[in-house]
Amino acid sequence: MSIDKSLLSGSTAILLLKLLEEKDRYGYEMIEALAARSDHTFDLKAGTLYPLLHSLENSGLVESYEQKADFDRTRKYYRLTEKGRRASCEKQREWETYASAMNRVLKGGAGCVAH
Amino acid sequence: MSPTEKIQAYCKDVCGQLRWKEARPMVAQEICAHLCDQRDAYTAQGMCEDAATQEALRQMGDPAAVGRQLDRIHRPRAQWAMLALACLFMAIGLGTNWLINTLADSPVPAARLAGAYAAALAVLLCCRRINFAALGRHAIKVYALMLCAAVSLVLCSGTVNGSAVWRAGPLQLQLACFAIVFPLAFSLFVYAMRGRGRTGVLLCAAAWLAPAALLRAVPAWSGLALYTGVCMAVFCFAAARGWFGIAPRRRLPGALLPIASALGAVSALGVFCAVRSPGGLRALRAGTADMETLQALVLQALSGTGAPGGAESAQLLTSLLPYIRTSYPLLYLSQRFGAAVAVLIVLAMALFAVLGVRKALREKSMLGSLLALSTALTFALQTAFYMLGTMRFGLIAPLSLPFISYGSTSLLLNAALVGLMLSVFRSGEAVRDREVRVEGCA
Repeated sequence: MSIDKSLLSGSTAILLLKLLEEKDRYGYEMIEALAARSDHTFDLKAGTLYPLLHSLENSGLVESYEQKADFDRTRKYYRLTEKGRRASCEKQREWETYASAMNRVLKGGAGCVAH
Repeated sequence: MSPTEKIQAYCKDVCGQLRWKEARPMVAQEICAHLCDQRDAYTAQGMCEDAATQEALRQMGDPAAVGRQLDRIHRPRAQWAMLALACLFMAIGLGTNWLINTLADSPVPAARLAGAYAAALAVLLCCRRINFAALGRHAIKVYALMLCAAVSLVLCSGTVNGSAVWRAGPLQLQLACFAIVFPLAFSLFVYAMRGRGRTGVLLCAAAWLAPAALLRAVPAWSGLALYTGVCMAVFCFAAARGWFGIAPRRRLPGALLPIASALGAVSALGVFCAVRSPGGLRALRAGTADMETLQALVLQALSGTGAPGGAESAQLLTSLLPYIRTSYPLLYLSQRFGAAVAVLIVLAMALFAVLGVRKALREKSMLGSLLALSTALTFALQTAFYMLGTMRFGLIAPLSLPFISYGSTSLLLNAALVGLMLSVFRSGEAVRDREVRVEGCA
């Protein structure tokens, strides 16, 4: 099932930060991990990934380093900074609050919160 | 077109959208590596190389669109705040020295003063645009060139008021100001020694020694102290970060030995000279009677209680007046406009130094960190020694107050160094350290 891009646009950063919480990764590895974990619901394009990663790096949430890969190829790995770790936790809390509220409204009935 | 050429053409199209050219190699390398990884994954699934490459390029998206998004992110960081501060210091220096030159019997022609500051501003702006990565590619050569140039100038120099000066027609260089640029040469040498273990550490100690000997020959105790202080900080920084390739538990002893040797050598030399010379200690303090009177004047001016009284003091002050104003501009500003002005200037310089050090520590590349740190600390120590010397707490005569003290040599050298530091902060993101084969961790 393909997901509306507008739903994804605000949450891709959270997904990337979460992946990097677990271990350092390079770009292609992140795309593959995201697709595998989400059962291909999130098929992130590389053209979307790299501008976002570089933007996160400029904001100080991630930092990069280079490492030799196979066949004399150099890969650029990304890791979470302390600032990124705090931002990731904060964004996950925000998402849980948001998702919980959405579910309450979508499920309807006695569980709806009156405004 | 072969698959590899298609990938390279795609990367070129992406990077063609990046207006900041320095960022292009790093972006191209990352995009190319990704496309190769994706192509290899498709090939492993059974696709032929051509089809795998085509699919990988399709997955990446329109190169122009990708490039435009990356262009929005990759821009040089102009460092307007630090540039503004540097220009402010130059303006203060020009203004102060201009006021000094309105007096009779002034030693400095106004046109020459304006020309010196204009040249310094031009040097700063030019150095801000240079590609500092080129210094890293030829680190040892640059160090050797600076050392040879310094030796040549010392051999051809004369002595004026006890200091070595090199003259060529109207051009005059105060060789004590070598202390301002030698830390930069040392930081380049440290960069060249990365990954070389204990051998690199010992060679760094030797690299400190040669310029130190030159500074002693100039002579410039304040310069030697400044140079040694900055070199020790730069060396410790590199050692603490593990850039010599020494195992973590051995980093501290590995760093302590050269530092202890340097400190011991400088201290021993100082004691030897003081004991050997009849007025050695006094010479170190640049004349006790004159300095103490001068410093009393500074304290009284800053505390607002006026100049010291007595005919003898007045006569001494009169004889020192031209030198008080040109060598102690902060004192002059305090007397003329109040102590608050001097305090504000010092605070602004402290802010500049702190910003410089902080940004230097955050630089991604070793080269950028080392160059920026050596420059920021040179600026900071010059200012600190100047203030300590002016406020009666210094043991040695200060070298200069960057941009504000009169002196074309120190002015131009400080402008070049600050310009280089701003160049590092401006484009450091796009610079990568060249790989060095580590000869085994010590």
